[in-house]
Amino acid sequence: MNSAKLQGWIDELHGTSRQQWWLRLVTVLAPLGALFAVTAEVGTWWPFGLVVVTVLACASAIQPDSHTALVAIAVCAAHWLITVDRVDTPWLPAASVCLLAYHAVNALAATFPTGGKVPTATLVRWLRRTMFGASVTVGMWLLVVLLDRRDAPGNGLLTALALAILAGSMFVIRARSVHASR
Amino acid sequence: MTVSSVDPWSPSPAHFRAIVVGVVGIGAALLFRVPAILVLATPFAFVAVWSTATRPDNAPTLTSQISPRTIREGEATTWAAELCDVNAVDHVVAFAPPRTWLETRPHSGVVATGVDHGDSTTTAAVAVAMRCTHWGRHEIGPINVVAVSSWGAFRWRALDVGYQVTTLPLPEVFDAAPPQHRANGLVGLNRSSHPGDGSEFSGIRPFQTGDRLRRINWRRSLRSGDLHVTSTYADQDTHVALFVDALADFGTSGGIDGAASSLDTTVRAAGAIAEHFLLRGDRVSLQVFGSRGRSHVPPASGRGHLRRILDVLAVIDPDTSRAGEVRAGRGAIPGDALAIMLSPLISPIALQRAVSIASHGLTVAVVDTLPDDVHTDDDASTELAWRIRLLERQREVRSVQNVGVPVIAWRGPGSLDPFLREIARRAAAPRMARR
Repeated sequence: MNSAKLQGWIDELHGTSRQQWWLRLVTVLAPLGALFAVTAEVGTWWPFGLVVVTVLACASAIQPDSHTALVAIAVCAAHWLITVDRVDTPWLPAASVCLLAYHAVNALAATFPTGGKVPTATLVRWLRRTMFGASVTVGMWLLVVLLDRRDAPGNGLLTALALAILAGSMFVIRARSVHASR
Repeated sequence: MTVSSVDPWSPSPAHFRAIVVGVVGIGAALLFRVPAILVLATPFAFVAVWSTATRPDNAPTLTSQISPRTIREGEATTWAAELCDVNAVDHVVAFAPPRTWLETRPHSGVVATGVDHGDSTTTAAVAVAMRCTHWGRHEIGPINVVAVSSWGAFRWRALDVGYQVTTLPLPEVFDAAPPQHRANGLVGLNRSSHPGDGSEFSGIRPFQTGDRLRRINWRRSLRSGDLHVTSTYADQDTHVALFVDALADFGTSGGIDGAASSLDTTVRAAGAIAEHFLLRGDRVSLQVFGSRGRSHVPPASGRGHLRRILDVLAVIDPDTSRAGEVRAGRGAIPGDALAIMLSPLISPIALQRAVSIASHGLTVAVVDTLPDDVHTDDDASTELAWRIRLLERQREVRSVQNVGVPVIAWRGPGSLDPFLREIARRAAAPRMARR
């Protein structure tokens, strides 16, 4: 390895702010949380998946502005779908929220150099948005569970309709909040 | 403003990720009737829809400036930028990469500001303070300015380049107590040996044509019956010619807060001496030899002239080539001046030039600016060569002192006192008159 490049990395590590370290830590822990949700549901670990997701999460924490996170999310989602065969478990929205947190923190970290400090107001705004996204996810899960228990035919269409309603309401809420603030 | 390139709003990998997971997930849930996929894909679809709905339409307008553009060592300047039309922007990040001799605040050079859409303002301002720790001309930037939309989905980038900050050397503390060299100018603070229009009493003499009426000494005139005037010594200035050796730089420079190299000491000492004499009302000229670029400042006085001298000192760039040495041997020698040469005396050219100036009848002093702790590398041969060169240097210095050119080590305030006292003593000593 080029020594100048190595020195550059060392300098970058040295110059990383404490807040960025926390963001990167959340980036690593969030997909592992999704894996833990699967483990909590089925009761067994997936060691190979754990290694793969950890490596991918670390890679995306180092280079958040890349498509590595997409692969990590795909691995976690595929693991859930292959391992778990039910939707009425609360670990499903938990895993989904973990993936949302992973995406959000990764997206936020990608917009800042490693030495940067995210303004508190921006952090709070992102946290609020993520919580709103999490509540939408929980709402969708409740809807899916409800439809699943009714065992009605045409669940997909109803689900799509539900999604459309959710998206529309989200858009209206967002538009109203912007107009109200102006 | 010197924005070199602006990239329009473009989607980020995060937006791509949200759309892919959201669309593929919902599509798969509908096609394969797996509701768990829908739950997993919902947050990404939510983010993708939100991001798309809030995609900024207009590119922000960046206005930036750096002020002040000329500072002293240790002082700070500020790069400030303002982005207008940031209605759909979530936050703005600016990054000033680290530069030698520039300390940024914050230390990382990264500043960010969140755009609060709660009030009516549609602007976002970011600023980076930069402290220059070494004299010279410093390039600032390129500074990246990035505006980010909601969820980091879209980014707008601008590259701000082309700023240059001139950092003037901070003159060291310098003072000289002894009286001055004989004065030869027209105006100034020093008493000339010649009578003229000044303030110091010389004597009373009979009135001559051309004498001013206000000089008439009425008491003496009444007593003697003839008009007498009070004569004075002329107040005149000194021309101090500074010669700066910029052929090479020895030692390690740590900026204003660290160790000083030979060129640092030379430049700061030259600034200090120039400031001292200019504030006394004397004329100071500057000649830099062995430097690329502008190297001569004609004699003048005043605070404005100090700035001119510091400007030339700030852009000294040692020319170690053979051409630089050849150029160093040339240059005009002032008619009558107090010549002060500042040099680390490693190159014999400076001493040869000092002897040459002295041979023209000028009073010359050489200020030795070589730091005490110049470390060479660990190579034994280089170390030996350096020691031999220092021994040769001692011999050269002795030979120059033997021809009457004093060599003084720079020690800050009072460095030139023995030399100035000596030349004042010489000027006051009785001289053999030719009859």
